[in-house]
This record gives sequence, C-alpha cells and structure tokens, in this order.
Amino acid sequence: MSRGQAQKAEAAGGVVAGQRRIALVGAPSGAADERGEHAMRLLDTMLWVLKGTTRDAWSKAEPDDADIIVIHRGDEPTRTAAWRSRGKLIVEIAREGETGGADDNVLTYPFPAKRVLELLEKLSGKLDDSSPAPAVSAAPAPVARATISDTDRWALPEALRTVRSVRNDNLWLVARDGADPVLWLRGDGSAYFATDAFVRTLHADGSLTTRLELRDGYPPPKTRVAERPAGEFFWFAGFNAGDGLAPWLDSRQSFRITAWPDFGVIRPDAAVLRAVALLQVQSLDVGALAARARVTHAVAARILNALSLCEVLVAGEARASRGEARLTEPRGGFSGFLRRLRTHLGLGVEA
Amino acid sequence: MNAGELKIVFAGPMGAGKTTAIRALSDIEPVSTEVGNTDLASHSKQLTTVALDYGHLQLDDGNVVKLYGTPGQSRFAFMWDILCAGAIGIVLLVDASRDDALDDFRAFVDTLRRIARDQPLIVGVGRPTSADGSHLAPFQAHLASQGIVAPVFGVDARERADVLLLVETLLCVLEARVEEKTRAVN
Repeated sequence: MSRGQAQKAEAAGGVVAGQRRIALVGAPSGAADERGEHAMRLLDTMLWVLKGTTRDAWSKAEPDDADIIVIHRGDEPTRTAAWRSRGKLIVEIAREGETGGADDNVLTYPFPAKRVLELLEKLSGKLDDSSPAPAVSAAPAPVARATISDTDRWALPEALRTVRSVRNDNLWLVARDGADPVLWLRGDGSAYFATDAFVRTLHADGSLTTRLELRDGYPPPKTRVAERPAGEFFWFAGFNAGDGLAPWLDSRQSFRITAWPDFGVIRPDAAVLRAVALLQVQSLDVGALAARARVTHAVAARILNALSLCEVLVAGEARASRGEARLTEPRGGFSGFLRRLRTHLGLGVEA
Repeated sequence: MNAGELKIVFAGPMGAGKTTAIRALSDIEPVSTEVGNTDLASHSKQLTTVALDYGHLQLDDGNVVKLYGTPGQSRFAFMWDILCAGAIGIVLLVDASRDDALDDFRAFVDTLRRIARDQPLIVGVGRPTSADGSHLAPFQAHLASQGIVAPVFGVDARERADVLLLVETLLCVLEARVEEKTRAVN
C-alpha cells in the first residue's frame, strides 16, 4: 500500500487500507455466453486500471483465498451457497434486462468503471464490518494483465475505455509486442510514448494493436521515445479491433459525433473523412453510415468503434438542423463539381 | 469578388499561415497585398496582408474556385463579411504558439458565427505547444461551448499535404450537407 493510499483511507474514515482479494470465476462448463465472458474480462481490466484509486488494494486470487467472489448470474447454486456459508461476499455479473438477485451486489453489463469503483468501496466497508481489519500486506500486489489474442480482440479497446473512464494519473501502462515494451500510456489516457518506428507501424499495420499486450507498468525511458497524442493510439486500437461493432455499441442505435478526432495526426483516407463528415451532419446507424458513405459495413463499424474509443461519438438524434447556407451552385451541380475539384487537387476521385 | 462566385476563404489572425496555404493550392501565383508589418508588437513577421490574398483553381469544366485570404488584423474585420458571403467553406487557421491565440480564435469564431453561420468551418491549428495534442483542447472546448461541431486538426500550413487535408475535409462536410439537403427535399 502506498503512503498516498493510506492517507486517502485515513481521511476517508480512519480505516487503514488493506489488501483485499477477489476471485473472478468463469461459468461452470463454459455456460456463460461470449458477452458474459467479455463482461468478466472487462471487470478484470478495471481492477488493475483502478489500482491506486480505491481505499483498499485489490488483487486477484483463487476462490478459496478470496474475500469476494464474482460469478455469472445463474452460477451453480450449491457452490455459491458454499462460498456464502464461508463468509465470502458474492458479486453477480448480469446482463441488461436480467432481474432478480439477493442483494445489490450486481454488476449489470455494460457497467462503467464508476459503478465498479462504487461497488469495491462498498464491499470494503462490508468486509470491515464483518471481520477484523486485515493486516497490511507488505508484498506487492500480483501483476494483473490483459492479454490480447485473436479471440480477445476487444480487451485492448476495453482497457483503453477504462483508462479514459478512471483517468488514474498515478498509473503508467506498458504495451508489449511480444516480449518488448513498445508503448507507454499515461494512466489518465492523455498521451502515449513510443518510438517513431512504432508510430509508423501503428499507422500501416492493421494487426499491430491486436497483438499488443497491455499491463500496468512504469514510466517511459527518457530517450528513444517521443510523446504523442493518446487519441492517435485510441483511434487505431478502435479501428483495427475487428470488423463488427464494438460490444458496447448497439447496431440498432444511430450515432453522431460531438467533435472530430485530430485527423492531422491520424491521417485517415478519404472514405473515413466522408463517413465522419456525415456523422457531423446526421445521426446514422452502422448500416445507414455504410450506405451513405459508400463503404462496407465492416469499415463503417470500424469507424464507429474508433470514434467511440476517441470519446467523440454519442447515440441519439442529430441536433436540429441549422439554417441553410446560401451557397453558390456550381455549373453542373455539386456532385460533379466536388469530383472535379478533388481530381484537380490530386485528392483522387471518390469511390 | 461577389457572393455568386465559388470561393473558399482562409481566415485567421496575422501569421497563422493563410498566405502560405493559398500558395500551396493555387493554380496561379497568389496575388498578395502584403506590406511591411507595422505591428511588430503583435507579430514579428516582416510582411503582412492588409486587404486580401487571392488565388484560384481553374477546373476543366469551366468552374473557377477562388481562394481568398482575409486580412489578419481585427481592424480589417469589415472585409470578412464581404469575403465570407456565399463561400462554400471557411478554413480558419490558428497559431497556437501566440499568447493570445485563444482570444483571437474566440473573436474569429464569434464573427464567423454571425456572418457565415451555416458555411462549413474547418480549423487548422499550427505551431503546436505540446506534444500530446493538448494545445487543441481549448479551441475544441470553445467550439463545443458555442454548440459548434467542426474539425479541429493540428497542421503545418507550410506543408501542402496538411492544407489538402483541410480542404478535403471541407469538401466532405460540404458533400454531407448537400446530401442531407437533397434527402430532405426528396
């Protein structure tokens, strides 16, 4: 426990922060669906991103050693009852629309980091009430990690969303490509550090972000790496995660942008510019965006994912249309004019 | 100049790169009404535009797109109304390194909201003061506070590719608006 944590805990109520253990338990026989497993991975990510911001220090453990056990709703009643009888607190992961549950120790997916933070603090209080304050552990918490694999393409975007949500400026996150550290991300999500070679690869290699392994770490070296806007990394992590909509986006929902990412850094192609411009003017779902921007459904989904990760995408109808600009109509109409102007400037003809 | 012509206006304070941007695009050597800068306290550049910069793009179908650069000093603000009327889009260039960059930006946005409220607006922020892109945040925040959604990109107006990015984005926004209007009519 850091001195800052202890001070924070003391200020909060005179209780010295302790080491708490939490077990994340998969569904029996893999009964949970993909969304359920995804929710558990999201919680795992949030636990290490929240490190240093909670009153107690939380580390992962096996159920037998844990104070808190997180299960999927509908887990086997017998083993759940056994854990309860041994004084362990149970937290359920539920999906939207599911109801019931014995108490309010429920995380309904998709849950924001703020909800997890509140729940952890509440559970700390319950543990204080039910047992003597645990001894302060001198041992460092085990390093938690989020590993990206082909079957877990959303772990990195989810980790980045959590970073942005928590904005923990006590934290540094390190991304590795294989064994080597290649990127350092500030815990408040404001900037990252990388070599020029990495940045070039980030722009050119669509699979790079799916190979990265992100974990809590240490500040960047003082040489060889340069500071970059985090939005650049967030864009590519979202854009390259997969061809479908991100798990936290709803395909039936229409979206619009509240601001543009800094495309001066990202340098997207014309199709992306066209799609984002549409989202400035209209509220569109993924299918409508694909049709209007003349891109594939997969590209439209990637654009929405990237915009969402850059925190400039909102669901809902577009604002009331502004007045109509009095624009001079070009000879031959706007469509032909725009095509010829692009060609003249060497921008290439639109699709 | 008149409101019936096709034109893109480059606006912004003195030294933001308007003349350079027009030079990067124009088919002709831009006509600049530059004179010696007598306001070296505000900006150290030796020459500045007192009326306007002018360049153009001659398309093969006969359409001509005129490129105008507004004078940077606020005492020439009366020119902005004339230049911006009927423009197909406005590129607002900002020099982030200036102490009064945000004040300048606010003044330009306020004026443009009044005289060119419905024209596509693209903002290019040059001379970054931070590596993490945080120098863009105050400009984005001001637009948000005014209920304006517009691109704000970090650019170097000396680079043609950067100027083209701004213009390409402007064309995309224009195209999106034309499409929305067409759908609304149909």
